[in-house]
Amino acid sequence: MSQEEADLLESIFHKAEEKERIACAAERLLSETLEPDFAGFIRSIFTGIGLKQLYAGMAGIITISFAAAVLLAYLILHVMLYMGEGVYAAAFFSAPLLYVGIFLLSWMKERESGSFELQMSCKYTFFHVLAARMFGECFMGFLFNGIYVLALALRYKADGIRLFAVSFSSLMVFSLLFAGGLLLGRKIRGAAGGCAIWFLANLAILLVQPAAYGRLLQGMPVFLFIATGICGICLHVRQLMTLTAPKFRKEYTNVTNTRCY
Amino acid sequence: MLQIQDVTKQYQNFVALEHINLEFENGIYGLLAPNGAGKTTLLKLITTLLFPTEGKILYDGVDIRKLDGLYREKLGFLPQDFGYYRDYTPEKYLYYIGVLKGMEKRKLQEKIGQMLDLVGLTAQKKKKMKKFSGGMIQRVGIAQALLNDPQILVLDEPTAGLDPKERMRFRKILTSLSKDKTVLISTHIVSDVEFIANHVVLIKDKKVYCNDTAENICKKLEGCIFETTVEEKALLEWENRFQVVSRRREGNDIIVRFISREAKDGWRPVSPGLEDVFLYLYKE
Repeated sequence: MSQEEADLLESIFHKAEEKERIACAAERLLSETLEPDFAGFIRSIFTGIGLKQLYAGMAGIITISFAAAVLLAYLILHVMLYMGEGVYAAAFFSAPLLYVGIFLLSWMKERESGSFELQMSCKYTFFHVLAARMFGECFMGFLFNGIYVLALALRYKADGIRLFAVSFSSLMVFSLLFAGGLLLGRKIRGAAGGCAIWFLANLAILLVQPAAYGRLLQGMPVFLFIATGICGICLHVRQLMTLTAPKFRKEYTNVTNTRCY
Repeated sequence: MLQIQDVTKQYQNFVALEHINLEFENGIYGLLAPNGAGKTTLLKLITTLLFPTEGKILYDGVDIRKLDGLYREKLGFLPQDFGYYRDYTPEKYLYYIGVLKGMEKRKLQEKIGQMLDLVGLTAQKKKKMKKFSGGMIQRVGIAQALLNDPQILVLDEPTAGLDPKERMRFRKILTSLSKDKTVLISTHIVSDVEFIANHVVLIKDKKVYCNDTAENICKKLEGCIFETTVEEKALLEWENRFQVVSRRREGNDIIVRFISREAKDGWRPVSPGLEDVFLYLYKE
């Protein structure tokens, strides 16, 4: 065999080895990229990022949001009582306040930092953080509303379970509209649209059919509120999973053209 | 290995990059092009900030869209406009970014110490970043890009804001890191690339114009770069006739370095540098 032939063979072997190496690496990498399930998604985000880092530097934001939510809930309660709507209407209307407050302020913090591009290149992107915070905001809203409805039940001798069910379903319907707006609009403006729909629809019913609002909340079976809330949680987690998927990120960047929040 | 296969990126009616084919192995790759030529778009495609309109990007043979988080775990990125939280200390900031990069929290603290040491910010690790100068912020940016020991390191204008000493230190860091990593540097500062890059990728008219070593690229202009002495009053006319790369004063005369396809008596031929190629290529 001449030197030339030997070199040719050597280069063929080298190419075959390289091809095999790439194929092995591809197989290994692909085996690690299984879509997470419902629980796996929540676990991977919360254990991966961790609660402490998820809300790092946000003590001020949470405190302000909490204070604003308490103040607004108090005002809404008095307005509802004045209008004769009752405590159920107040619990329903106030349910998303903490969620909105924390989301709005944390989003402003991210926007001010201008770290969108950097976060989008990390394993957990801006959307992972956003999704985890939205889920966390639901949970915080749930706790806040729980304390609020307990106080209402004690103070006004109302049905505590109904109050809890009403505020739970309200929070989850709001969360669905909020995340749905973001997913459909592919911009934060879409989420603001979802938020506006919730508040305007409530206001419209309250002003056009004032008696119907309170009656509906007092008359509807409790299990329907609870079922709405549970379905809301399941759908909301699905929405958050969609929010972190590459398909949504692609659509989002196409709409915003690169680096907007 | 990172492969860019026939990638086109279009923003509505504007085509930013057209049919880009590149392969990156371990080493430093300098991406040179004037502003607006598509460098940043290419980097954003590589860092999954944008997605190609056509074509695909493969990492070890797998589409990076499929790898998603696994690919980004192997990535270090310093964007051109590097965002940070003003109230964070560099230590706290690096911890946060490390967590987002999916790093093990136990090892993170030790790694942060190493990175702060590497960029010379150990003494300032407890200071809030809002008190930092532009150069110090850029050093934090470099530290975060290196934090997860990335296989692919993408740096967009990394030396912007650094003083010459810091720039030298940064070049040394990159050279020492490039043995087992793919480092992509996008810049319009030619000297950054000339001194440290193993390969230079030149982008022109939305396409890859050439991808070669700096030495081979410079050879293309061999015999076309000259120096000569001109009188000050003739300088303007000279600049209109030739593409002047640089000029320096020596007494009453001015020495001009320029590009010409033909040689003439009195012109001293000089070795071409990457800056000459850059100016020649992007003259319009």
